[in-house]
Amino acid sequence: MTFATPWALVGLLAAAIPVLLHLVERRQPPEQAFPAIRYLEDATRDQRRRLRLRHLLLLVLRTLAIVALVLAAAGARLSRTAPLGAHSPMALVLVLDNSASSATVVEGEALLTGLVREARAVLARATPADRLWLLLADGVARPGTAAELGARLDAVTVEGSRLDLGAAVRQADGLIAGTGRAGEIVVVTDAQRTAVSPATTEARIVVLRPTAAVPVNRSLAGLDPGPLPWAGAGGRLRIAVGASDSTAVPLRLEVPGLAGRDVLVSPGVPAVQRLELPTPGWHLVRATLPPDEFRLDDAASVAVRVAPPAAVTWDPADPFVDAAMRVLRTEGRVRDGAAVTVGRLGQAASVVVPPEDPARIGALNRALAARGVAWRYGTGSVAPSRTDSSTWLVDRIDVARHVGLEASGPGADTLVTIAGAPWLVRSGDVVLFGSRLEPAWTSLPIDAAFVPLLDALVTRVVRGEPVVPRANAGAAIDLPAAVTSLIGPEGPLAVEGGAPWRPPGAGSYWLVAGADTLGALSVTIDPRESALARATDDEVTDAWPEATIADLAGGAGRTFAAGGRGDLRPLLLLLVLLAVAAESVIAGRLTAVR
Amino acid sequence: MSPATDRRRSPAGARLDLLSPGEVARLGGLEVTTRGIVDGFLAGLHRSPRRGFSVEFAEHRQYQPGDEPRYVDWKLLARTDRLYVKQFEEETNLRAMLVLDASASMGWRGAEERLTKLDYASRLAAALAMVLLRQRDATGLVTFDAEVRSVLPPRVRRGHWQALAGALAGLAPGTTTAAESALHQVVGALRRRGMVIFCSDLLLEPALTLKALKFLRHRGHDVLVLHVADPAELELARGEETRFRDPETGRTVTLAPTDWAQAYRETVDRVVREWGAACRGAGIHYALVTTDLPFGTALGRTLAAR
Repeated sequence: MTFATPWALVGLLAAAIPVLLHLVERRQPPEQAFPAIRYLEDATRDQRRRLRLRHLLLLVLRTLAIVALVLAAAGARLSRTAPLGAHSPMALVLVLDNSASSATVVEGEALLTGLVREARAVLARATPADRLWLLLADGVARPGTAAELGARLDAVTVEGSRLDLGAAVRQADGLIAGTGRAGEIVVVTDAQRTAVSPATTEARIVVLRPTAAVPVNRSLAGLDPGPLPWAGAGGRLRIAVGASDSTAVPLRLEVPGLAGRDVLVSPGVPAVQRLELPTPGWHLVRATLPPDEFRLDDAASVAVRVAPPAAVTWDPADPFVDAAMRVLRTEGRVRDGAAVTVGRLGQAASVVVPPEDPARIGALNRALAARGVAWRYGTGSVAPSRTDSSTWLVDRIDVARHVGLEASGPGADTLVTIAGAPWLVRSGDVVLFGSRLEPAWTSLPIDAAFVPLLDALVTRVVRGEPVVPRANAGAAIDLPAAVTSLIGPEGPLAVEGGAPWRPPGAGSYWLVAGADTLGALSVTIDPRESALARATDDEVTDAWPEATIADLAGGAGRTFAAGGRGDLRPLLLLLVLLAVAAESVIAGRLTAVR
Repeated sequence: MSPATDRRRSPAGARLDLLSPGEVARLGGLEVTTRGIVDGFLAGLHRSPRRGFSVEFAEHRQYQPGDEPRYVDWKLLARTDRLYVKQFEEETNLRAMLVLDASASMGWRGAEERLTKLDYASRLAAALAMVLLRQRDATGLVTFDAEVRSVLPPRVRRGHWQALAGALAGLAPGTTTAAESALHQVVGALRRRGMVIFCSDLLLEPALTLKALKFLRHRGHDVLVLHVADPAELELARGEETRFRDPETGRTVTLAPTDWAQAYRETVDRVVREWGAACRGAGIHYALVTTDLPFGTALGRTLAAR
C-alpha cells in the first residue's frame, strides 16, 4: 500500500481514542455490599455476554472508522502484487544501469551480471499486453516485447559512460506518460550515490539494488601534462589518485621507447613527476595503478607533444603584453624570434588586437583580407559585458570596450564569445582579439588567465593546432573541423570533423587530418563513476519520493505492482460510512437494552 | 384507657402493628414492642386468640372488647347479669418451631430507614411466637447461619416467650447460609406432628433447602416458608456502574444498574415464582414479606398462608 500524503498517517494516533475511552470507562467503580448477588449473576449471565460483544463490536467499528478515514486522508493506494493474479496491462521502463561502475567485481562476479539477471526476472513477469522499454547507460530507450528486450540483454556490456539515474527516470516517465497507461519505472542499478539525482515522476519507481558491501576503489583521477607543447628536454606531469582511504598507492608510468618508472602517490595529494622526452613529436604517457575490483579507472594515458619554444616578437611599448611575454620567455615557453608576432598583424603567425584609432581599422581589415584571414573587424561597438565561458577562458572576463568581429569566409574559428558574439577568433595562423589588451578595454591583462592564454595562443593556436577538450567516455564532444579520422586503442576510427562524437571508452585517440597528426584526445571514464559508494535508501527516497527499494536478488517480485494499483479512497470512505451506520444501529440497540 | 389498650398503641396513639417497621423499632426493643404489635394485630382481627385449639374448660374471665361473643357464658350472664367469657385449658397438641436464618446476608438493609432483614425477621418471629404461645402452642426456636447457632426447644410454659425474645434480640448476622442442618435439627426437636416456620431471605442453596423442607413436610409437619426480602433486593435502584459484593461469599459483580434493572426484576420475579411453585408443589406454605411491610400485615400474610 502506498500513500499520497503519508504525513496524514499521524492521524492514526486518533485510532487510540476509542480504546482509551474504553479503558477509561473500565475504571474501578464504587463497591457496594449486595447479598442478592446470585440474582445479578443470573440476570446478567446471558445478556452480559451479548453486551460485552456489542461493546467490543462498537469499539472495533469506531476504531475502524477512524483508521479508514485517516487512510483515506493519506491517499491510500493499493499495490497488488503478482501472487494476487496477473496485472492489468501497463507500461514499464526497465532502466539497466550498465554504466562504467557496473564493471565492478563483487563477490567474484561482475556487478553487471547480477543486474542483467534481475532485469531478466523483471521481463519474465511481463505479459504480452504490457508496453516495455529497455533504457541503458547510452541513453537510448529501446521498445520491444519481453522476448526482444531479453535478447537485447544478452548483448549488454559495460558502457564506459556515466548514467545519470535522475535523468533516466525522467526520460522513462516521459515514455510512460505517452502511453496513458499505469506505469512503472524499474531501475536495476548499483545505486551509486553520484548517479542518483532528484526526479519527480508520475509513474511508480522500483529500485532494485545490490546489498553486498562496496569494495574499496583506487582510481587515476588525473594525469595532466600542463601546457603543451613541452619545450626542450621535457616537462612536469601532474598525477592525482582518488581513493576512499589515504594509503599511498604505487603507480607505474610508461612512455614507449623509454624505461618505465614506479611512483608512490597518496590519494588526494597530487604528485608532480618530471619526465624527460627529448625527441620532438607526440609521446603517449601511460599511468597504471595496481588492479582492484574496478579496473576501468586503474589506467590512464595522455598524449604529450614536445616541440621547440615558439619564436615570438612583440611591442615592448605595450606594458601588459611585454610583461607577460617576458614571463613566458623566462619560463622557456617562448624565445625571441619572428615566427609569431603579438599585438599586431605580422608577416607570419600573429596575435592581433584592434588599433586604438578606429580610423586604422579599415587598413587592418584590408591587410587581413590580403592574408586570406576569414575575419575582419566591424565598426560597431558592443556595450560592456563579460565573456562567455569557454575552453580557453574558464573564468569570465570583464570587457568594457569591444570591436565587433565578422567572419568573411570559410575557416573562421571562434574561440571566445561575448553574449554569443565573437571576441577571440582564429583563422589559419592569425588570432584576433575584439578588445585591446589594456585595462581600459578588458580586465584580461590584469587577470591570472592572461599569461596561460597568451602561452596557448603563441605556442599552439597560431600553429593551427585544434582545440581539443578533455573528454569522458560516452560523453559527446565536438571534434575539430579538420579531423578526418581517429586512431584509438582499438585502431583507426572514421569520424566526421566538426561533428559531435561520443568516445566509446577510456584511452588516447590521435586526431588525424589526412596524413598529419593534429593532436591527441585523452578520454577517461567520468570520475564520478569511480566513487562506488552506494546511496542509502533515505537518499534514494529523498531523490525519488515514494520509490520502492528492494534487494537486487529477488526484487523482481516487487515490480508490475502498478498494474493493480488502485485508489482506495472511495472504498475507504464507503467503509467509514458503513462502520458509522453499523455503530449507530448497535449503539441504538444498546440504548434500547438499557 | 386500659393498660392492655396502652400496650397496643404507640405514644402517638397509632397501632404498632400498622406502623412501619422502622417506626416500631424506634419505639423500643423487640421485647417491648412485640406485645403491642401482637395485641394490635389481634384486636384488628376482632376475635379472641383463645378460640381454638383446646376443648377443656379452665376458668371464666371478665369480657373484654374483642372477645368473640360465642365464648360468652350466657348462663352466667343470666344468673349474675355480668359478662364473662369461658376460658379453656388448652391442650398443647401443636408444637411450633421457628427456624430463623441469621446469616450475613440477613444483616443487610437497602436503606437506612429500614430494618435489616434479620432485625425484621427477629421481630416478626417474636410476634409469631407470642401469638402461638398465647394459643398455648409450644414454640421453639432454631437460629442458624453456616451452622446451627442456637436451639430453644418448644415450650409453652410461662416465661418461655421472654427466653425466645431474649435469644432473638441478641442475634447478630453470622457467616454464610446452610439451612439443611438447622432443618434437620428441627426433626429432632419436633417428634410429633407440628409446625415449622422457616424464616429466611432464601439466599441459600435452593435444592438442598427444598429437600430438607420437603423432608419435614414428609414427616407430617406443617411447613411455612417466610421469604424475607429487602425492597432493594426486589427492585434494583438505577444508577452508575457499581461493583456489587456478596457479604457472605465475597463474590463481586460489576454492572451499571441502569442497564440491568429490568433484567434483574425479571430474574427476581422468576425466583419468587419458582420458590412459590416449588413450595406449593410440596404442600409447603410460602409467603414473601418485605422489610418495609408493617408487622401486622406480615403477621396477616403469615397466618393467612397457614
